[in-house]
Amino acid sequence: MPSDTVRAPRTAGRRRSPTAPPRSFLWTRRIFLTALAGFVLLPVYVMLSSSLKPLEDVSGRCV
Amino acid sequence: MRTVARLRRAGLPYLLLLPALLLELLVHLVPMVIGIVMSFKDLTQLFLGNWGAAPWKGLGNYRVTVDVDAPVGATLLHSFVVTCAFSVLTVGLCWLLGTAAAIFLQENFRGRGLLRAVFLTPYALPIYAAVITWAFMFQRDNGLVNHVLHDQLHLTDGRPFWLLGDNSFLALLVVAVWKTWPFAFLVVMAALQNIPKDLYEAAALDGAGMVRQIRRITLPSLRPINQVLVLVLFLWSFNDFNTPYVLFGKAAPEAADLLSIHIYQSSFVTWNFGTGSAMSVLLLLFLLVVTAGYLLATSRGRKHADA
Repeated sequence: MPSDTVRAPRTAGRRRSPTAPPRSFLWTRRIFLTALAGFVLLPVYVMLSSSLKPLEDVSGRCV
Repeated sequence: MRTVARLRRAGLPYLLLLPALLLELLVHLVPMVIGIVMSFKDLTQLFLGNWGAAPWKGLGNYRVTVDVDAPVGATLLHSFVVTCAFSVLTVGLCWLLGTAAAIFLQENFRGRGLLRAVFLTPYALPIYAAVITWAFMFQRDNGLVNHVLHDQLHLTDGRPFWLLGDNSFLALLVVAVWKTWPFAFLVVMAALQNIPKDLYEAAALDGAGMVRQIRRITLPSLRPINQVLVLVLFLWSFNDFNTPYVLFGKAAPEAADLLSIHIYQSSFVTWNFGTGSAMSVLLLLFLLVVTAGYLLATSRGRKHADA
């Protein structure tokens, strides 16, 4: 492909529907839901990782 | 003959209801009445064997609990203030997180089903196991919270105590919100299903942005549900006993001394059941008054809005 070829943006010609949510809303949604999923899953991760460790390790009696 | 048959038919529902009524009486009303009776007695550990023999004290227990100049009343007042702050913050945060999550998950997108399932995890986990895990995470020396805040991000100077001192209120709040917000999410999500999509489409075509759509369509439509949701969340958080008990044990720190734990301590740690019962009765009265006032205020507001 020659370097001076002007490529049209990928979204050109595709108009957003007036009822579609704006990009700011989509980004807020992504950030909020990711943070919330992290908050919810944190204790679940601790619970799971503790359950997979040997008992001595969990109770702090390992040498 | 016809009258007897009619009486039998009319009496059958009451007969069928009788076992449930008796059970309700036994499980709820009888302990409540016994608690009220105990609050008028000088019931200490000396009368545990035969509490019926405890002398009557009249309103003495109530006088002691409401005397804010005396140690018992002062600590009860402090506990009441802590509980009010805890309840207001818990209800506000749970409602905010639940409503925001439900609104964000209203539209269909990839991963929506998975996120819905993930968000309901705290509601599905056994509460004791979950709170014990949080207590592990809040440990000062080898807890995850201090590991991330201090060792990884270097946000704190030293390793703070989370289950002692003033930080305990924050720890309790985080656990309570984590445990309770999925209920708000579930209720609001169910309520959002009843709002017709045409309303949003019409508003968008008229030029209303997302914020205006939420303010003018979503929140007014959620109003009747929110009325019940906020009340239930408030009553749950005000009476929450399991979370502080599992997180801190029998003696909660002063900053996280909720009324339920305070009453438990008064009754079962200092063996003063009379004072503990008086506090319980006062708590019951307070919650009844708040509930009645809230329902009256919100129903008036709805009538004004409908008119």
